[in-house]
Amino acid sequence: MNTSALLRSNGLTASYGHVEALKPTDVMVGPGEFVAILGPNGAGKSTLLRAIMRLIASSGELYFEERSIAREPAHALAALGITLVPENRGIFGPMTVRENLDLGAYIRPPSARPEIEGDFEAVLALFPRLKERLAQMAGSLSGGEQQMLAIGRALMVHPRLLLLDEPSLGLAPRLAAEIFNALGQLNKRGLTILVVEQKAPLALALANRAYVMRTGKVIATPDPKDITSPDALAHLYLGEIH
Amino acid sequence: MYDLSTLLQFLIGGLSVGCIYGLVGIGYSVLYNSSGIINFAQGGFVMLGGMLTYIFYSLVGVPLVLAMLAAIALVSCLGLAIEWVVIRRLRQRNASVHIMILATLACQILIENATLHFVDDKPHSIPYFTPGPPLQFLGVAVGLQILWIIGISLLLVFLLGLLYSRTKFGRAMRACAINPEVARILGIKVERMVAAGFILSAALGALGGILITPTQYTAFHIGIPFAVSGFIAAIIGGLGNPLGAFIGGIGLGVLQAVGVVFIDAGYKNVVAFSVLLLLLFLRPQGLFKSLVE
Repeated sequence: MNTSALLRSNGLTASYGHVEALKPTDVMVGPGEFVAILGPNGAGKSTLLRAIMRLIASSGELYFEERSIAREPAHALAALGITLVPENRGIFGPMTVRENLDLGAYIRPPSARPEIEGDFEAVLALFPRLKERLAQMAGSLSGGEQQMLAIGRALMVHPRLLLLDEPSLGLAPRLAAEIFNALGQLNKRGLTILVVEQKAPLALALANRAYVMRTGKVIATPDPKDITSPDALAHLYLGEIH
Repeated sequence: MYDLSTLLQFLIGGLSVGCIYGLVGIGYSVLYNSSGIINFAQGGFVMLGGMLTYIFYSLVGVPLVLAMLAAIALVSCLGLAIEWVVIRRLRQRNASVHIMILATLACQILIENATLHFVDDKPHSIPYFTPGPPLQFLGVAVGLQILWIIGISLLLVFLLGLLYSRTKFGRAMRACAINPEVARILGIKVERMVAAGFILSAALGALGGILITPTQYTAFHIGIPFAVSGFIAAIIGGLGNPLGAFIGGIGLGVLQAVGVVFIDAGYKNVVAFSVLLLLLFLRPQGLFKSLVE
């Protein structure tokens, strides 16, 4: 047993109806790490994040700081310090940017007001564009701004483990780079990050470790430093299953 | 043709019944704002509000105010029971929203038939909140109950506006309707918010029923007409916007009054629904912006 793990799964599986979208999977994320999950479409990457977040029926073992969370309801995870920036951002469009950010701090008690204010200022410092748009309806933001808001709202939970599902999806390369630059800053400040990303180079540039998934299971755990070329990546995606 | 004071008299009548449509419409919006569900048992809550107040006041002998509070409390419990027994089970079975809406219609019919069976089929009423002759404005008689209806409705619209825009609880409710999965990720107990939506919408329906009963009557079968009119009010106003539903209700009530004045009482719904159809063609999303879409 790896006692230093912040998050650890043993034989985690998940199904949609009769389709087993996630075959028994072992992943580990250590404190302060930046871990990337890579793989082609339909590899089970998002399913893994949804299973960790208890958003779909799953079986197998799942531990956060060695405490079993395999039976916790999804809403209990935020209080433990785990949150997810979902695919397609999941911002509350008919609410203002400010209201979205406030909802991020929903579970935090009124006594945490000074800390909440501190996190709010930190989010605005990380994404200054949100500061100008606090009173704007979130649905009217551009794609990049919506992603910044989704990450900002997740930071308002004050997580210790931040999961992100395809944060670069639908973003222009410059904006995707900006988002990953922010994630790098957050990781440097000590936030543990587990990110699912199709644009592998973005994630690998920051990752300490990586898992490559295909057909619902982890097929490789390469050292990000070894994946220096598109060919190496293609080999991982398409090569023999080891 | 009618003189001005008679016209105004009809309009005041339309305004008061429109407020009740509005309150029923608000009930729809409140629930929609926490769950995305349309609850057709809303009309049953309206009927039961008046009926239970009548039972507590006239049959049991409880003072009127206490009878009203007891009726609101009981109807709220019924709303919670529907959420627990019907909606939560259906959600656990991954039923679509359409199935849940159909289930609420079944609940409406159950409420109606249970009332027929356990109470009776006769119309019943309760006293005016404030006894006394109507006030006279420009030759128009305005009953005191109408002032109660308008005043309480406006107060509720104001309070709901505060709930949704200023409170953490109200915003969390809206978040559950907009994206329940993300609401869960943020630690919001979605099932609890849906239950709160049912309680609040049931209480609003019951209050509407209590307010309108002194000016007309209540009987086991009045629920569906109110449910339909309230639903129209909510659609006109933009489903999920309480203020919009209230204004939609008033619009519908006044249009019905206009139909009575300018054509014939039998045509009141023809006028009202023609305007509704026109509005739906021109502005299918309703007059006001939904708080959750």
